[in-house]
Amino acid sequence: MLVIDRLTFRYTESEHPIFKNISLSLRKGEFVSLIGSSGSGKSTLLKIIAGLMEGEDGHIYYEGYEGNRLGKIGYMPQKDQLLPWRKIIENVLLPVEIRSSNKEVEKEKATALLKEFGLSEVANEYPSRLSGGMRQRAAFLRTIMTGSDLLLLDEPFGALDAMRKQDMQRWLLSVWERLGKTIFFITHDIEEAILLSDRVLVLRDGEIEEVSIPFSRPRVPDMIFGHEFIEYRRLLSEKIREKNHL
Amino acid sequence: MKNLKKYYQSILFFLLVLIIWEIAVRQDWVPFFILPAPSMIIAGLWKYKEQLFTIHLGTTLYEVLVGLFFSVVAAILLAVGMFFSKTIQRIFYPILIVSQTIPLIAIAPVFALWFGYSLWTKIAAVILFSFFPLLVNLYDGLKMTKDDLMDLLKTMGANRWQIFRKVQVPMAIPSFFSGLKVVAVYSITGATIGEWLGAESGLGYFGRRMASTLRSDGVFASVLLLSLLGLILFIIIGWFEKLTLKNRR
Repeated sequence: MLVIDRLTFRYTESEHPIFKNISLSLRKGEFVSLIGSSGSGKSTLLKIIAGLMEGEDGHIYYEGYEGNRLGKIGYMPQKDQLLPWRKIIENVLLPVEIRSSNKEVEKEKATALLKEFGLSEVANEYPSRLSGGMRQRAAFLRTIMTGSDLLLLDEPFGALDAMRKQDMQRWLLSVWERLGKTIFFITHDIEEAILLSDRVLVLRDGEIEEVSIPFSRPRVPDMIFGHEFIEYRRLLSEKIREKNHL
Repeated sequence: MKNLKKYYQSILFFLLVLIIWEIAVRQDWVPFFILPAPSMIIAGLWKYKEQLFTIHLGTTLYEVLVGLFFSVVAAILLAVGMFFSKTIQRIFYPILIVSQTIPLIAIAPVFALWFGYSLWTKIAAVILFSFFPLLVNLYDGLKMTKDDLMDLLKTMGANRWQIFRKVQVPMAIPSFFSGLKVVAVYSITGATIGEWLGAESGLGYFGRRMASTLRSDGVFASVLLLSLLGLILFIIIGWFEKLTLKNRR
């Protein structure tokens, strides 16, 4: 679905590159996480994939084509970015307005999904009336309404407290299993990455290392206490830090 | 009721001042032709009511509204122009900033020179006072949208115009209203000064005429009306603002 082939990127000419020849691929229907310490360039990679920036070297293919990706890939930024002057339903339909596709059909679809996401009661409320978790769900629904099969999520649960985060993880997994979308998920939470993903990519010093997570699905939150799970936690936290220890 | 609680100290003090003022004039501590008592001002308002309300208030209100209309239109055009074109921005922005060092009252006579006693002198003075704050507020408002939000819109495939219409314009509205509220009072200052320069009617003109014949009750009556006019304009704009922004954070 998405292939990145030897991508190099730096912000300015002289600077040390943020990514050095990185390659990765995402298959249809996969859940892949990207972890790394803050400042490692996770969000930058997401922006490049979304089409907001281009690498100085290398190729990116989406659905087999290289070229403009803006408007083709669903992107959910760190903050929910719901527009305060639009009701939830109007916020959710923003990508539809921008594509100017058939609004009636899409509105029906959005209404059904709002119900599924437990948001139908607040569909006609403004974002300021919603809790953090609800806002995130609304922002996620807006991302789905882009109609894209690939969704890029930039630390969507970073601002939530531990309890709410668990609920949201469980919820996201169930939604993903039903909708069959491909999700590329950024987090700095190792546990979250293992719990959710088929594969975890570790970004460190401009390079990417991949770890497959073989746990079967559907996954249950209790598995984080399992022996194997803890082994993966240890492995990944070592990989994140490796270089710093030298 | 809540407002009354919040402001009652201020209101009490104001009433106290009014009472002392009234007594001071009635006891002849201050001559009434220098400072008329509050009751005399109200009586003056009544005495000159025909002129004030049928002629002068209308003239000033007309000058203010026409001047504001042109200021708003011009501010929108230039703000949007500067926003979309770096060249326009580079040409006008420095000039506009520097132009603010000119004492506005000092250029007002130029309008009298150009437009004489006509209404345009006053309208030009209103524009002089209200254009700049409107422009700056609107322009800053348009620039307020954060890059993160712009990025989100771009990933949805939005073009420049869609981003402008769907995000940047709504984002600029609160700032536009703050400009408009400031200007509600400025525009009345502008109209008054314009009328001093030469007019045949208007509250500023009326005040000057009364002053030249030492009719202090008339002067103060016109000042009171001008203040009320500014206040009412401010309240109306604030009310529109509330209506427009009621659902925002």
